[in-house]
Amino acid sequence: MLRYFLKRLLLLAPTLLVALVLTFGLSRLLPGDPVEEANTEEFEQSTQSEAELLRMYRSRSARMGLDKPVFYCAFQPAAYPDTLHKIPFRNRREVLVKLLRQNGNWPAVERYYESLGSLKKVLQAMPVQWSSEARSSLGQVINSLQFSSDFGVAKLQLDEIARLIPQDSLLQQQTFPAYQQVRKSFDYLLAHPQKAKLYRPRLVWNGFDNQFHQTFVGYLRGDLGLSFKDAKPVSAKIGRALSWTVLINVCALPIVYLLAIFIGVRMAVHQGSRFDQRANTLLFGLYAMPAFWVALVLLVVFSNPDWGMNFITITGMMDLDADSSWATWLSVSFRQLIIPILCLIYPAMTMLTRQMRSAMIVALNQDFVRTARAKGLGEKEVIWNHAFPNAAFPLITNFGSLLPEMVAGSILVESIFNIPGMGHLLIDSMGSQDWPVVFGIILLGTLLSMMGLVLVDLAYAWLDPRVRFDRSNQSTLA
Amino acid sequence: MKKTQGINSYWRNVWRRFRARGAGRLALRSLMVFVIIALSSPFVANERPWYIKVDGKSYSPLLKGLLVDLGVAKWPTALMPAEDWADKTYDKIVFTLIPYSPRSIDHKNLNARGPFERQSIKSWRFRHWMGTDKTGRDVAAGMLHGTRMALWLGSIMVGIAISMGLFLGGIAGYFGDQSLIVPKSRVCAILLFLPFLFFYLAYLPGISEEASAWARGFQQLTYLVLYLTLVFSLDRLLRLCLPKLGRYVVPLDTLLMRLLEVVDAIPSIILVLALIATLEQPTTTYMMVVAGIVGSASVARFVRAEFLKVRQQTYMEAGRALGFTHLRLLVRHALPNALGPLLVLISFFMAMAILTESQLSMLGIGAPDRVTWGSILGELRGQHQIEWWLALFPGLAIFFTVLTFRYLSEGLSEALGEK
Repeated sequence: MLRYFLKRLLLLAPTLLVALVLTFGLSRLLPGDPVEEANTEEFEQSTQSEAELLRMYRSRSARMGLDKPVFYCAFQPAAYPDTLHKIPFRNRREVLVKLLRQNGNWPAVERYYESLGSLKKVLQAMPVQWSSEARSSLGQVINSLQFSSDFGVAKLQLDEIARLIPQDSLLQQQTFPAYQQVRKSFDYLLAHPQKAKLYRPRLVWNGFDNQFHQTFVGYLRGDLGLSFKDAKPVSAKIGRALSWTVLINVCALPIVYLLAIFIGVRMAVHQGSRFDQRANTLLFGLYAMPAFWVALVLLVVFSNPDWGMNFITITGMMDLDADSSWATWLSVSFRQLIIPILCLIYPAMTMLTRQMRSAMIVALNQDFVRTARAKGLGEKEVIWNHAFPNAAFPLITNFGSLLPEMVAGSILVESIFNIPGMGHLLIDSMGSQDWPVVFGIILLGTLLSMMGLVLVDLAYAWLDPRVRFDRSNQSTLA
Repeated sequence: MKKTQGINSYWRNVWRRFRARGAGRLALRSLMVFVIIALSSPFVANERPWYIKVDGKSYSPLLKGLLVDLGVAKWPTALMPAEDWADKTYDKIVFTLIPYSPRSIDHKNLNARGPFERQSIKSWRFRHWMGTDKTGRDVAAGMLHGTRMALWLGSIMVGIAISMGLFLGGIAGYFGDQSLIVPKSRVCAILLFLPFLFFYLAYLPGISEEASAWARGFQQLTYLVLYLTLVFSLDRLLRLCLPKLGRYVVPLDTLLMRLLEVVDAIPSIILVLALIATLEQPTTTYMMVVAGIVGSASVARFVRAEFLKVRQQTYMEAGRALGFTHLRLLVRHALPNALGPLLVLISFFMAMAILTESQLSMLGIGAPDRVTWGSILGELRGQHQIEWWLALFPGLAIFFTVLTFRYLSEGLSEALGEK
């Protein structure tokens, strides 16, 4: 048994690893710059000067570990530099890559972009009290030049700069040398393309100091990183949310199983009777009734003070403080949770009842049931001691698929009833683009449902010795 | 000739048994009603009138509008501006049954006016029979177009889930772990050039950033063809030089099942939500494509089990003995025999797809680019009073479509003798 358990756990590892790589890859595909998103206010409140922005970005991204290479290795064109990830601001990085893709000469592209930055710095370093129309329009043109990835457009903008600078003598005196640098590097860039380098792949080894390694080691240690939104540890946030999700599911699951067993067995025993037919129709109807619709209607009905049924409040569990007393906590949560739990129970119950019914019908037609009846056992004994244990296997198998379903159901129920659980947190974090929290939840959800599958397998092996000892039957292991 | 007759009579039997049950017949009829509503919705609920007469000339803005939306035609100057038809005077004008489009806003009936409440309308002809929503859109028009969207988006999801699941599950079940035998030289060639294929497909050197999707697609196709040519020639070369290289048994089933296990392990709604998040402006269609890809895992599992069963049948053995190719055995012999259960699965999945779609739209995930049943329901979220018409009509619509597809799949599986 122990060996079987260890083997099963070992098989878990590669699945989890693939899930981890998948979530990490997804997180890199997301739109937006995480450094900017996490520090939006700070960036907005800064003086907006080029030097300060760059310095701020560098320090923030170093703090978030985002100034490291993404993965252990990269397979990229030979023209690409090793240090692309170190360049501040994602949109600038993208412009640089676009320029590079047309030209292929990285040193020239870099020199051009740096000279543009120093032109901007020179312009910003000029005294504030001194301002003119030419200066402000020059600033605008330089800003848009920083984001133009088309050489034709860039050339036109450079000509515009050349036209603007001589309009003002001070401007001419201060910025002309910097402008000449930009122009020179731009002309050099155009004259020396190295397109062949774009076609040649190169394998880059980044070493272990990379983002993936950092995340991976963090996850292994149980450290899910910091939330972008409020810089609190993700694990603490998820932990608090998880307790609510676990609570409602722990309340719902036994009820689901009890209802499914009793109704399903009764339907099977009285197969074809009026009860069977009616229950069947009812279950069919319940299945087709979308849970989110029922939840929505129940919420509105039971939270309406005009109808005298303000059983639950729309703000949900948010009213509870950490320091409210144990008794109020219990009464509020009981009142608030009973309808959400109901909405969680009935979709799962309909599926399970139908499966219980068909498994029970199969079991009741077996020979051993006839034998049991023939030797004069009571009907109750036959049903519960002989037929039911043999029909219970689908119930166990279903637990594995029921768990992710319940998690999914809780997402819906929580976001409708405002219960601060995992689902609510997930939808919230996705809305505010708080990716560390989102991926933490995904990984945890994966882990939970895989644990469910392992539990199912273990229960199977415990109840059915054939699984344990049958070496050729690998498919049950998978 | 005899064989086709056999197949026909099998399906005729299934059809007869299906028709014999009242529930199946009813489900089929109600499906037909839904399809008719979906197809006719632009002609029944449209703010553009069927027919107008202005300055002695006749136009049909509705039909013209369809052409304009397709980009084939332009509005004639006499009809400009092509909005607010009801407020202008024409010599003669014939409106559709419901003179509103799902997204046209009635500024006089904002903030959810109910079907029985007072509506500020010109005549009964312009009454909102199912009320309006908070932004003043007609609910009846939204419901009709919602039917269209539900069936269309459901078909996208089911189409992708079934075709991907059929492919993956089919090859996994048909080949198993032992049947796919590939020369080692070919494995070498494929693996050797694979990183390069990924490299060129990902970076697409030699094509500008602003190139159209067609140009990119063409470039990618070129690299793919180049890859296949290289693989083929290296394979030949290796076999010429090292004729004793041998063969390799690909454990296809195990590989694919491991992959499916990962996808299965991540709760599907969470995976869908995460995938949707990767796009800056997700459309409803993209949402359903993602849901389809995620859903294909369970289809693949099902198809694999079916094909494993079919594989052991004697007619497959006979086919193999006759030296039929894998493709022929798969498509002509295995697939038709797994078709029945697949039909059951399709209608079951359709119900699930419609539920998924309305659930996601209701939660407000993805861009609100379309009026669907779910998006009408979603207007009720987080408010204190219920506008019963916003809850009742979409709720009933979802209930009846899901019920229809469920009864369809139930009736089919009984007609096929599954139970």
